[in-house]
Amino acid sequence: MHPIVHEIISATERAMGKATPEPEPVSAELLRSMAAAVDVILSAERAAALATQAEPHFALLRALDNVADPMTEPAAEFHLDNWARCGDG
Amino acid sequence: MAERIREGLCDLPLLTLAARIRTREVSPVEATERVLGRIAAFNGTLNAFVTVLSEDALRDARQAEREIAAGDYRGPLHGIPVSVKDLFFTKGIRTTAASRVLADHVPDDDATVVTRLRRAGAIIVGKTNMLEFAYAAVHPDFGPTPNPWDLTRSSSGSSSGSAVAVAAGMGYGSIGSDTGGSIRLPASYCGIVGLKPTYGRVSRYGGIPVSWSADHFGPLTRTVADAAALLGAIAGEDAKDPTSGRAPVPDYLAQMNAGIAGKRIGINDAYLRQHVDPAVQRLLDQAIATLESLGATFVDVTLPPPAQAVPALLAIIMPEATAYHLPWLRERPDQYSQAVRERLELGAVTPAVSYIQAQQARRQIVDDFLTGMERVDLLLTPTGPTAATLLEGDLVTGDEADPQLLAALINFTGPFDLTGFPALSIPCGFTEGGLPVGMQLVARPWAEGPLLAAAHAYEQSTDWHCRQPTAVSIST
Repeated sequence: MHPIVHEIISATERAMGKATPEPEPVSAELLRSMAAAVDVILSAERAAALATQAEPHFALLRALDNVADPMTEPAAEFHLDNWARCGDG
Repeated sequence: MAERIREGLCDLPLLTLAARIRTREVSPVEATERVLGRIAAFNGTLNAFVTVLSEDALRDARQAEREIAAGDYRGPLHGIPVSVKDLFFTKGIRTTAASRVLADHVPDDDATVVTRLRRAGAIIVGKTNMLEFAYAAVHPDFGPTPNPWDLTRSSSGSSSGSAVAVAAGMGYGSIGSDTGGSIRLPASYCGIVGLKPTYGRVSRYGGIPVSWSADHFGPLTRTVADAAALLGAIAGEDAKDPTSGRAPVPDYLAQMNAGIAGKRIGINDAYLRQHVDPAVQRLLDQAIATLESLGATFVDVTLPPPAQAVPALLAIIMPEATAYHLPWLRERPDQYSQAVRERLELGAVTPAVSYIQAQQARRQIVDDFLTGMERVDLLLTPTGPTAATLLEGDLVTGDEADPQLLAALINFTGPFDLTGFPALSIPCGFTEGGLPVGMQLVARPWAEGPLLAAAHAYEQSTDWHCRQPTAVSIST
C-alpha cells in the first residue's frame, strides 16, 4: 500500500477514535442474523470473513455521529414535480 | 524518459477531427477505420473494450459521411468515433457492467446518453471495460485494464476502459460514470480530462446504477474543449430520469475562451496539503503558480473535511447499491467477484439509521461547501492522493471490500459525489517516473461553463495534454 494512502487511513482512524468510545466487536453470528433479516444468506465461513471487513465499515458509520445533526432534514428528495410530469396527471 | 507527442489521426483532439470532417478533409469512415485498427492493435494488451462494434460503427460512419456530403452537418460530434462504458444500455447490444451476473444481458432500449450521442451523429465504436458494476473491483472474467503509461500500473476505475481507450487513441472521447471518483481518478491516472457534471445535469436513464443519489455520468477526453463538446451533447433535462435537472444547458464551447484572469480559486489544507504524495504536491504547486500567472488569485477557504464527507458518501452508496443488487445477491452471489460481493453484503447489514444520518450529513455538508465557496469561483485539489499505483496489491485487483482503503482513494473526489458539485480532473504534469498526475477543479452547482473555461485556460498554457502514452507502440 502506498504510504500516503496508509497515512489517510490512519488519520481517519484517529479522527474516528476521538469521536466514539471503543465499540463492541461485530460477531460473525450477528452479521448472519442482520443479513438474514433481508434474506441474504451468509455461510458461517462467509460471515467470519465479512466480520473482519465489518469492523472498519461500522467504524466509518459511527463517524457519522459527529457529523449528522439529528435536527437536520435528510437530503433525500423525491422530486415530486418531475414525477407528476411523468405520471397520469 | 522520452516524450511522445500526439500527432497521428487517432490521437487528434475530437474538435480538431471535427473541423477536418466538416471540411471533408477526413471522412468519418476513414476516422472510424483508423480507430478500429487502433483497437485491434491495442486491445489485446490494454483490455479496454468488452465489446467492439466494428460493423455497426462502419455502417453509422458511412451514413454520417452521406449526410455530411449532402450538407446535413449536425455539429461537432457528427462522424466522430467514441465509446461508452459498458454500464450504459445499448439496444440490442450486450451490456455486461463487466460482471458475470449480466454476461448475456441484451437491453431493449438505449440509455439517454447513448440516444443523445447518436442524435448528435457520434459513431459508437464499442463498450468499454470497467470495474464490476462500477463498484471498485475487477471481475476475473473481464480482467484489469492496465495503464497505457506503464502496464504494471493501475488505470484506477471504475471507468478504466474509457480512460485507457481515450488515452491510447482508441476513440476521441468516452462516456463514463462517477460515484466516488470513477471518471476523475482514471482520467488522472491516464493523463486525460475527466468531467463529473453536476448531479442531475446528465440523465441517468439507462445507466446501471451503483447509487441512485450519487451516480453522475460524464465525458472523458483528451482536451477540455472536447469534454465541453461531449457534455453539450449529452446534458439536459430528461423525462425518463426524475432527478434530472431543469437548468438550461448553455453553449459550453461558446464560453470556452472566458479565461481565468480575475477568478478566485479556493484552497484548503485538508484538500491540498494533507495526505498528498510529495510528487503530486510538487506538480500542484507548479499548477498554482501557472494559474496565478494567468491572473487567478488563491484564497484560503473553510470546507468540511474529507473525513466527514467520505464516510457519509459510503454510508449512502453501500445500502443503495445493495438495494439494487438484492435479487441477484440472494439468488446467485457466487457470480460476483469476491470484493464486490463483500461490499454488497456490507450494504445489507448497514443500519437504516446510518443511511439517514448520512443524508443529514449530506445536507449539512452541501450547505457548508456552498458557504465555503461564497467568496470563490472554484476550488483546486489533487484528483487522487498519488499517481497510478501498481496493479499488484491495488484495491481494484483485491479480494476484500476494504472500506478504509476505498475511502482513502476517494479522499479528494468522493466529497463532490456527495455534494453533487461539478468537478473536473485535468493533467497537471508527470512524476519523475513518467506517470501523469491530475488536478481537480470544482465549481458550484450548474457552473460547468466557468469550470471548463478555467480548465481550458490552464490547459492552453501547458502541453501535458499533448503527450502520448509510452507503454504501447503507436504505429497505427
